[in-house]
Amino acid sequence: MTSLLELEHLSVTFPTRAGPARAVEDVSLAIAPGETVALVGESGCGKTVTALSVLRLLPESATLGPESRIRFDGRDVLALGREELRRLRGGAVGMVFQEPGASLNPVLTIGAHLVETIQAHDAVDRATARARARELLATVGLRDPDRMVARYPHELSGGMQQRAYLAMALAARPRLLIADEPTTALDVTTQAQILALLADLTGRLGMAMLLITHNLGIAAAVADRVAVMYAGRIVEVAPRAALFAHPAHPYTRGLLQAAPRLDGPTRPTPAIPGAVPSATAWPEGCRFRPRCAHAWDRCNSEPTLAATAPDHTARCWLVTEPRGGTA
Amino acid sequence: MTAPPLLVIEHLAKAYRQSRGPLRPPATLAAVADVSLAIPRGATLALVGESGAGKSTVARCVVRLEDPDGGRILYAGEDIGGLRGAALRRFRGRVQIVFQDPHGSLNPRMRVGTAVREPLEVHGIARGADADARVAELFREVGLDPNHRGSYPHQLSGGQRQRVGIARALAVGPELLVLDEPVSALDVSVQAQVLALLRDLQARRGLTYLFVAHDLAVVRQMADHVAVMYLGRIVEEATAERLFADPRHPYTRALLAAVPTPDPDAPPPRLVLRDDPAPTADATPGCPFHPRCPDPRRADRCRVEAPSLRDVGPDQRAACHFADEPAPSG
Repeated sequence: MTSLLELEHLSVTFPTRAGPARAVEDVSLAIAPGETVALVGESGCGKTVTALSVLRLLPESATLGPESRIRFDGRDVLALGREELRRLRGGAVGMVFQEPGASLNPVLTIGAHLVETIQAHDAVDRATARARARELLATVGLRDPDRMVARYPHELSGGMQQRAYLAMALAARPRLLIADEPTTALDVTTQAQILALLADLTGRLGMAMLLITHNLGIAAAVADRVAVMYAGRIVEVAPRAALFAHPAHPYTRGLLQAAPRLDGPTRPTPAIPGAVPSATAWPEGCRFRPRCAHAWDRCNSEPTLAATAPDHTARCWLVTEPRGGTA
Repeated sequence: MTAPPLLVIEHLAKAYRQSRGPLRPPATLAAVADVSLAIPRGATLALVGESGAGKSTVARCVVRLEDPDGGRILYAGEDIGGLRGAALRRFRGRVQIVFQDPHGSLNPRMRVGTAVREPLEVHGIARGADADARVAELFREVGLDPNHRGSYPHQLSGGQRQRVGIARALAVGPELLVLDEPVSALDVSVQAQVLALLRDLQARRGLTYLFVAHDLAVVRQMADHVAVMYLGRIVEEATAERLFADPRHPYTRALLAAVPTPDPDAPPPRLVLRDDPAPTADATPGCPFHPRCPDPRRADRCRVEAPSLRDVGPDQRAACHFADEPAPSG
């Protein structure tokens, strides 16, 4: 199986007043055509920086480590020229972010947004672009596309804005959709609608998706595979069923236990002590060690990602040297 | 539950005026319409619903950040609407609010120790070395190292900032805390820490909570009683046990079905509700929920007759014509 997207040894550093922030370090992740991968973790873990790297949307101040490789459909993204990069963004790779309202131009109608996006990637006349705009609005489940094209972003609810924004991302028939917390600003009922729509679209259009979320419930609902990030590194990757049934990394287990759920206990769930450290001062050794109930001497040096089962890897000494654990 | 409730809300109403352009008179949008609730001392009442349901408006009226247009709020038997001067100050010493985003509610240029000390001085509770000692004590009580007193809000993590927000609210020794989405902005690992702290403080200080939240899984861990709001009205109200075990209003059932569960074998979040709420219940004749109602029993009656909130079981009330019957399966 050839990968559609391949990240290899991706490292991203930002200069800050407190010194270099190593936001992402040595992240390797591949997404197959049509596959949905959820990148899960708390804020400050490097999920969004990883996603932005794919399309080289990082601020100018960011530097990529010399080992970093990004390949999309066999092409070296880091070697693309400006024009090729422009065609990739919103072309073969579509994007949706958390706040659709902030990404839509308030003085342009929804139709104008779509026509502009379609014509940026396809040499079609205006009438064709308009017809395609209405098709796209129907694809994302907006009723009455003929009226929708004439509406302005502020006339739409948050859920409708997210659908319109998604229609733009789909305009050039992307093979990969990058969705960064696409439902976080929405009510739970609207979230359920958008998640169902995303699952439906990836299936119907054969589109792969990199879904960034802090919510394990969302990963459980839509992902084929789940990658968990902590402190700039991937700490566990597994197919969805395996990750939830046999979480190997103590951070993954902690997240699962901490998540409040309707079928769980009615007392507060066990928390993970402490907080995510700062990217300018990651702990030495295993970065999760200061918050980990199983930490032992071995954790003073950093573990590598090791296989716990086929297709299942975790970055923890308990995986390779289980006798040291307290569990 | 024979003791009189600490907080009673009676027929609360609050409307906002919305401009419709220069040529038309402004529209009146009812944010809250006829909300009645009571919280026994030491209990937690959760107010849940989608954004725009009116939850925060109720919360803001309870702490007198807003004045209602109709109805009244009784605190320990006293109508808070008429409180002025010293009486209002005394009220503010008993009822405090904790906001969602401590980043937004804490002054970024004020050291967090000063932020917690300020209410002690404003309310004449302590000054000088005595105030210093109390601030250190409050920090320890909410699980913060007193050495953080000299920090600025941006130097703390989200969870630490929310602990500062809680310490500031506790400084005046309140009896009732209004918690407006207190953990929504926090990561899940830290959210659990703050929820445990709130439970702990409640037990230790005998606090009463009005807990405003949209996350039903969190509410289930915290609440004794739950009121579900839709377009400014309460559509269901019950003990937490009953509401989660046997929800009677189709909107409550839809909210519950939409919560994603971190378990791949669980049914996926169900697409029960299409569309968005109407901008306000005023625009909808009949039941405000009927345009979105997925209940197969929805009938002509729902389009013309607004259901009233009525008893549908022990400690349970719902505003649905069909709430007496068990939920349809599937």
